[in-house]
Amino acid sequence: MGAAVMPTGIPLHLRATPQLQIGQASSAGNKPINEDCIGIRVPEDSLLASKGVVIAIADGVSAAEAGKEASEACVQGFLNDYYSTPDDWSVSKSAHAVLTSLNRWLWSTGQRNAEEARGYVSTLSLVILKSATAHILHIGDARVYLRRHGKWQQLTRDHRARVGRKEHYLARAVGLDPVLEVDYRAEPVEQGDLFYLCTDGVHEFITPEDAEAAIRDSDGDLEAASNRCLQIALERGSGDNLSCQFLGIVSLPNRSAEEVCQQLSRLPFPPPLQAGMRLDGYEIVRELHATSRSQVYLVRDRDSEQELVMKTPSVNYSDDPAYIDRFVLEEWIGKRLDSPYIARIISPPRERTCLYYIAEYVGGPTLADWMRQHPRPDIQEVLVLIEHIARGLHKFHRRDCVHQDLKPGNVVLDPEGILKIVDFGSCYVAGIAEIATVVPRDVPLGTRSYSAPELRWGETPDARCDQFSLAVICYELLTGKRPYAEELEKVKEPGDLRRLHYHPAHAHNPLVPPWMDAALQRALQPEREARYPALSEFIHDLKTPSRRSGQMEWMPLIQRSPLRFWRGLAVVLLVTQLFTLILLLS
Amino acid sequence: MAHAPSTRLNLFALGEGKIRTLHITWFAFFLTFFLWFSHAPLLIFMRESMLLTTEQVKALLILNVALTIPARIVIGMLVDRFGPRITYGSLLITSSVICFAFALAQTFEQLAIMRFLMGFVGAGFVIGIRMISEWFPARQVGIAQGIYGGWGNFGSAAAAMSLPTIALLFGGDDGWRLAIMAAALVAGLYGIFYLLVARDTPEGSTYFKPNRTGGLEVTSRGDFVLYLAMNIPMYAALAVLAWKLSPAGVGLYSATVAWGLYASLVALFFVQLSQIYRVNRENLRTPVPAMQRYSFRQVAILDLAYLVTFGSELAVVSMLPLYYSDVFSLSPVQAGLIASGFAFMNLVARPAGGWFSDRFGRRKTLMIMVFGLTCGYLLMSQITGSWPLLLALLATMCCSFFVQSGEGAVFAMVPLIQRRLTGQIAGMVGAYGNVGAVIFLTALSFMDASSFFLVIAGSSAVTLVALTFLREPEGQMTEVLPDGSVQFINVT
Repeated sequence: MGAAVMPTGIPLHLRATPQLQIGQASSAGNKPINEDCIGIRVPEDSLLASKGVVIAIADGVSAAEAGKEASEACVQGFLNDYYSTPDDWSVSKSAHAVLTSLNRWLWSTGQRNAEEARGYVSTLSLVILKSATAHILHIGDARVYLRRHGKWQQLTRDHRARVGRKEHYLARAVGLDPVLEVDYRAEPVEQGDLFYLCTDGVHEFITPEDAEAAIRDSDGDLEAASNRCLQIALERGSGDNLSCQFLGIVSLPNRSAEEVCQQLSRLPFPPPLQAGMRLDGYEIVRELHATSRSQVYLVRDRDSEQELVMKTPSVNYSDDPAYIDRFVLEEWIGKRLDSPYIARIISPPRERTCLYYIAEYVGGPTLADWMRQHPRPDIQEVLVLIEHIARGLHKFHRRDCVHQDLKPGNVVLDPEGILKIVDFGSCYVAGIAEIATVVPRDVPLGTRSYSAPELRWGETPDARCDQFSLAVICYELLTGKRPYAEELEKVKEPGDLRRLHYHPAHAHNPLVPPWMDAALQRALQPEREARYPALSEFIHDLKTPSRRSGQMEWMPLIQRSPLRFWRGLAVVLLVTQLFTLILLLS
Repeated sequence: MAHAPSTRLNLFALGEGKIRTLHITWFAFFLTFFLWFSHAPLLIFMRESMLLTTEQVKALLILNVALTIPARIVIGMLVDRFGPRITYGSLLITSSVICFAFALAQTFEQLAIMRFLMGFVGAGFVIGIRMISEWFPARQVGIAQGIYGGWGNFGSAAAAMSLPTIALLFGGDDGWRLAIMAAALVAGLYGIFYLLVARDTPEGSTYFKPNRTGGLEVTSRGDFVLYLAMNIPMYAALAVLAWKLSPAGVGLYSATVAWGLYASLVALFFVQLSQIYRVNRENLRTPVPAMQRYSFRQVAILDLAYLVTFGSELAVVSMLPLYYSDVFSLSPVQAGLIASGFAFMNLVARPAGGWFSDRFGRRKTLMIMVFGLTCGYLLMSQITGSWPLLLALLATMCCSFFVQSGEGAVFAMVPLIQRRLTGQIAGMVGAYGNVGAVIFLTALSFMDASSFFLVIAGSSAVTLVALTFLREPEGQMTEVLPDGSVQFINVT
């Protein structure tokens, strides 16, 4: 029997270690103090999988008095804070968050010390290697080079502004301005790639080819090569601080499909369960729901007597690694979502002997059932329900996740009247999507009548997809009908979006005020770009009577309903034609 | 939500979407079988009114099952593209039109062409299997498919029982035409009903991007070769048929057409080879994880088992009414009624085969069933006009019990070979059922009925030997202890 304690970090089957060669060196050179700062962090296991390897180089600006403090704050601050970001965040979101706060801190520290004329300003260049992708972030005039198949390529652009022939100053740096612009690019990595980072004290005097010669001279020892580079630059007359770093990819984090599958099939699938059966201390009370993909049972915990929900995978998929991957992630993401508006996932206190997960039992009817029982709810009531869902969704989006499959069947009312999102089986997790795997992943396409149409042709999901689904639910609650009727289900490719025409909700339910209709119409735009940029704006507009949206009543017919306009025009023309015909004949 | 778990189905819970879907879908399958074998019990009338020779009658029987082999592939692709609802509805409507044309045929050639086209309707089985597996959770899908298959197959028995009587009611030389038209009308109307009422998936179900479809995946080089080899009999069966209808046989078309047909069969074979290679290219290069490996030999053996079970059923159901009427000099109505005894057993025998498999082990059950049907066909080969009719009927029903239980046992084993490929394996096994029908009916065109039964018995004996190489499906077994707790036992 396999050990069955679920790991806390990234699921085991997604963990893999790359083989790397690292070397770095930094020295003050001909200056009294070294204002450069360099750092590398190669974490273990879970952090390695979720966050990757970070290599950072910073050059404190000498004109600023506190250059050394600034560069150290950048490198050390980033290395600490980046690894403390949530493990489901993508690299760019995590790095962005950390850099923003670093910049604010340096800038405000610099402002406070303005009278002492001590500026806290530094360049910062980073290479973050996660799975098979290198994320390059760059501010300032240090450089990042990549050698691939023997050719060098500069990945960064110096943020310098020239003044006169020789003079130049730093156009961008951390701590210079309250708003920070960061150059970001993601580069797929190949085996044998070599990254080379250096500050201006080095790159102004030696070329990457020189650096390569230094590696040859040091017999491939990158630590020795780094020192050799600094030495050459110094010999060539560099008067600045000197720093450089190498990161060589000996092999990518690569695991065979065999290993990954073994990891995934560690736990067997449970058999069909029946009332009275007991599994790992949970007694099955009854089956709540079963589909061709999974079964959901109401269970009672032996020790706590608590009623809980057990979800088990369907044996239809017992040899499908993509399905198991998704099932495992469903629990994983659920555990990271702590909100009263999302059903809680519970870590089983006892060892698991097979694959399932345990969640809180919400108990009440699903929103789909509730809608059937309340065909015409009060508008205020609808707003409360929609806000509950929006709060749950907000939690998802904060974790860089998209639910992707929001529908009335996936939202359950608890006895206190709070709506909870219950199913995470289709979730898109940005931080996980970045981890390459040898086993092809399942691609959820959502539910045809609720999910945003762009998911059907595989666009990368974002929060606006959930906004669309929420608006469909809102429309249905208000009117008992879905906004695009059957048309949404038929959409298969981008060209089909033209066929989606919004019918105002007040046509079905005259009590729906115009501003709500306007908000719904915008959130339900078939083109994602036309929706609200943020979910909160949609909720705000939905709740706030505004004069602007009130104008809708004054819109000319051709804008309100082009179809009706042209149809009407056609009828008018037909009548006049007939009239003319009659005149001619008589 | 929330009902007590039921491993058995409550077939009267019409409020549940899945039960409704099961009922309307098995009836759709029932109608396809009804149409597909509508000619068999009426051949006696047709022979008289259109002055057909014995050769021609036998040719009609083979033609009926020929197109089904390639049609299964086409229908499979249509279901992928359009979904079960549209495919089933359109299939019923189309075949209703073809069936009308068949009923109006004035020459043997017209009859032959329409019967050939009717082969398409025989491929309907695939559609419903897909529908059922979308609607039912894993623990019920077996029984639901059993009901779908068994009750649907009963359509041929219903045709044998009812059509001769209906033909007589209409009366006259053209009674059989009106009877077939009535059936076609019902099927066409039902096709429209199906389009309106059926739904492809439960309300609000989540979609996932479908995995690649096409050829079956095999997981070792040896299996790849075996898989290629197993495709040859399908084409061989079609080639024999083409030969049978060429001037060398019935002479339905000219020698030039025959050569054209052979050439296109060869071309088709190579197209399929390349498709199979494309699906398996990756697997041949890099080894497949243990979790996804399976032995294709298992599939090949099940192919054979289905060939002698379902294949012989299709063949026997086609020829039995005429056979009884000839041997025992019965009226068409009597012959139809007695012949329906064979397909009648479907209602219980097929599900019983699945039940026995669960209870007594799959391999053992299947071997007993094939042994039983070998004896059954031996017995049937001994039937002569001097036998009491009742005894002949008993022999038939006894034999058919083993045949249909064998079919159930085959399909009880299919999902256990490799879950993720169940659909494709089921498709291949099913196609072999049709290959069997073509082979046996072609054999019938060369010999008398009792030799025909002997040929089936002989094939079954060979299959029985092959079955000794079948392995009981392995894997995790669970046991529920007396106190209700679930235990896992590794069976390896």
